[in-house]
Amino acid sequence: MGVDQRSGRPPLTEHERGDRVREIIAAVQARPELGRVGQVGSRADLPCAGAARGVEQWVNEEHVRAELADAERAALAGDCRSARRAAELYQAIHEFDRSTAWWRTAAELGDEDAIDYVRYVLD
Amino acid sequence: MTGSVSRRGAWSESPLGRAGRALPNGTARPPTPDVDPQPLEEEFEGFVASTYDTVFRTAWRKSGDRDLSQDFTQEAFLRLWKHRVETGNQVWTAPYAVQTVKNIILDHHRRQRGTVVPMAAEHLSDHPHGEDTYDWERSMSTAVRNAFDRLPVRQRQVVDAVVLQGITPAELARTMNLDRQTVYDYKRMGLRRLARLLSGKTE
Repeated sequence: MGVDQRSGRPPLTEHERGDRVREIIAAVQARPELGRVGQVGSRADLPCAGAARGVEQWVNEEHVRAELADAERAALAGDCRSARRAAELYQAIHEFDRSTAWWRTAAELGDEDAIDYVRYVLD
Repeated sequence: MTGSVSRRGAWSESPLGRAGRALPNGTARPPTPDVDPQPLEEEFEGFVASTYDTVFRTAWRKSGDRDLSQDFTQEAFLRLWKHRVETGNQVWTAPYAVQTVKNIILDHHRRQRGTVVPMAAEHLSDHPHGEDTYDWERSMSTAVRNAFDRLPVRQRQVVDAVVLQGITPAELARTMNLDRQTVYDYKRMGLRRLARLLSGKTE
């Protein structure tokens, strides 16, 4: 068959794989019953499971606040990763206003995850 | 299933029922929409791009036919998309896609021969230590691996764990002490960024 199936190498060239991926996306868009995202009655636009639930049972608020104190201190010193961590932790305890503020701060400090978060989720 | 688009063109039924037949001369491909993808479509594109090699090689290993494997792989991804559209549940993980393509091939064999047939190339396993320890990184193409390396750290962690390894978002959120929604957000962002990196779109 030309390529050793037992090798760990992918059996397709980059161009082939790119073509196949594009065909699948085209197929999704071309089939009316599959491309109905955004139409009335479609469930495809619903948020994923996980939205609008309470604080997760594994989140220990005491521990989170202890970690937050460290993260905020480092973030105020200009560490973008700590700023992002502060945003995550505030989100974990559902203090969304503070979380949003820290996401924006982390993005301004240059954290790439936070930049994407602000771009795709907040704005 | 009422219709599909394959690398061979438009079919009036599932490609699996007619796999291997060439289209008549002059049959036109359906036009590819030239619009910016919706966020969900872009996320799906990232998922397909990052897992295509793995699913395709599984299909090839199971079926022993390279051309058929492309149809099987496409069908598997279409099923995952359809599942999301119809139920709202997202099962876009590499292990789920691999299992889907295995089921499709099994169904194909049943239709072809009227019985359950052992997989043709099963003995050519590239899972030396079993399915649970599959080396996803090794199965990736260079382009996908490079795109992965360019993901921000959190997105890379989440996409690797949730999409490639099949760890549930809840398990990962517990491990990383995050809210589950944060994991979902990272996964969405990571897949969209992967799609953009792999399709050469500028950020």
